[in-house]
Amino acid sequence: MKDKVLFSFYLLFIFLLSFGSSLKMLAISTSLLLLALLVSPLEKKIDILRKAFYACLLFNLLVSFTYFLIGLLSGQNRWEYLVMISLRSFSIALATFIAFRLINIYKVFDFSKSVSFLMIIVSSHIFTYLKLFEEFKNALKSRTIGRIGSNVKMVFISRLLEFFFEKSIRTSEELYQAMKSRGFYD
Amino acid sequence: MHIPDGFVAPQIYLPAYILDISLLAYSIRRIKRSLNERAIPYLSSVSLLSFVISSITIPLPGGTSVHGTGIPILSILFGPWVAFVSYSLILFLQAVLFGEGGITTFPINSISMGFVGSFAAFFTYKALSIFKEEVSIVISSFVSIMLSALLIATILGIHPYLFKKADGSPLYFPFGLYITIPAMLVPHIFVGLGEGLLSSIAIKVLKRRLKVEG
Repeated sequence: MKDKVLFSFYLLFIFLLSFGSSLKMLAISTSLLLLALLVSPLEKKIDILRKAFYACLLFNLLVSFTYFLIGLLSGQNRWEYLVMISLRSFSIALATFIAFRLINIYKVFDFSKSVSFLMIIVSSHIFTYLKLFEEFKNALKSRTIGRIGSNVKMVFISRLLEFFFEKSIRTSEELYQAMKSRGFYD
Repeated sequence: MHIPDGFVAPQIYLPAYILDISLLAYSIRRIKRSLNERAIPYLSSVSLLSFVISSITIPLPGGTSVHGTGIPILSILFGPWVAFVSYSLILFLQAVLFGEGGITTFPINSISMGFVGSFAAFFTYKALSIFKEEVSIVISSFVSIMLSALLIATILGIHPYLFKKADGSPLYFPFGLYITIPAMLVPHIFVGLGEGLLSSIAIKVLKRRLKVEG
C-alpha cells in the first residue's frame, strides 16, 4: 500500500511540475527536491544527481540551448525559456530518480499478477543480458588489432543476434517451467 | 533519441497515456488469449531480445553509426502486437530504471515507436511480399522508422502553436512543424537505412535459426 500511495504522490507532483512555467515555482520545487535528496536515507546521492543531469543534458543542448542561441543571433534574449525548460526537465528527472529509489515499482503494479510478474522477469534479466552484451563487445575488441572493419562488425552482429535469440527461447521455456512448478497458473 | 520530461504539455501526454494504456491492455489480453500460460515467459523473452537489439550499433558508410530500435525485426518475426508490448515494456523500464526517455513522454514514445512503428513495419512487409525478402525488409524498416519520426516530429512541432505565454514565448517544445519535420526526417533517413540493414541481417539469421529449431 505504501508504494501505491508514494507512487500516486509522485504522479501528482510530476503532473504539477509539468504544468509549471513560473521560474520562482520551478526553482523552489528543484530546491525542495535537492533538499529531500540530501536528507533522505538514500545511498549514492551524487550518482542520482549525475543521472538526472545527464538524462536531460543532450536534448536540452540540442533543443533549448539552440533556441536560446538563435534568439541571441536575432537580437532576442530567451534566457527565461532556457532556465524554465532546464529546471522543469531536471526537476522531473530528479523526482523520478528519487521516487524509483524509494518505491517498489513491482508492488505498484501488483493489481495485475501478469504485468507485475512480466516486469520482475524482464528487469531482473536485463542486467544479465547487458553484462553478456558487454562481454561480447570486449571479446571482439580484445581479439582485434586496430579498427574493427564493417564486415567483421556484420558477422559479429549476426552471431550476437543468434546467441541472444537462442538464449531468449531457452529463457522463455525455463521461465515457463519455473512458473508452472511454483504454482503460478494454479 | 528519446524525448526527456518537461518538453511535452500535460494536455498532450495525458490523452496519450489513456490511449497507450488502452492499447497495451488490449494487446496483452490478445496475446494472453492466443498463448495462454506461455504468454508471460514469451513476452519477457521477446522484450529482452528487443532490449539487446536496441543496444546494437549499426555501422554506416562514411564512418558513422546508428542505434537500431529492433521494432521491425520483432514485428516481422513475432507480430505487431507482441512487438508493441515488448518495446513499450522496455521503454518503461528504461525510463524508470535508467532515466532514458521520460515518464511523461513515455506514451508518446510508446505509441509512435512501439505501436505505429510495429504496425507500419508489419503491413509494409506484408504488402511488399511479392518482392525479394531483403528488399521488403529494408523498405518496411525504413517506412517504420520514418513514420515514427514523423509522428514524434508532429507531436513536438504543434507545441509552440498551442502552448505559449501571453508574450508569444513557448511554454514547452519551442520549434514549430516547419523545423521539427525536416530536423527529424532528414537524419532518420540514415537511421532508417541502418535499421533496414540490421533487420535484413537479423531476420535472415533468426529465420534460419527458427528452421533449425523446428
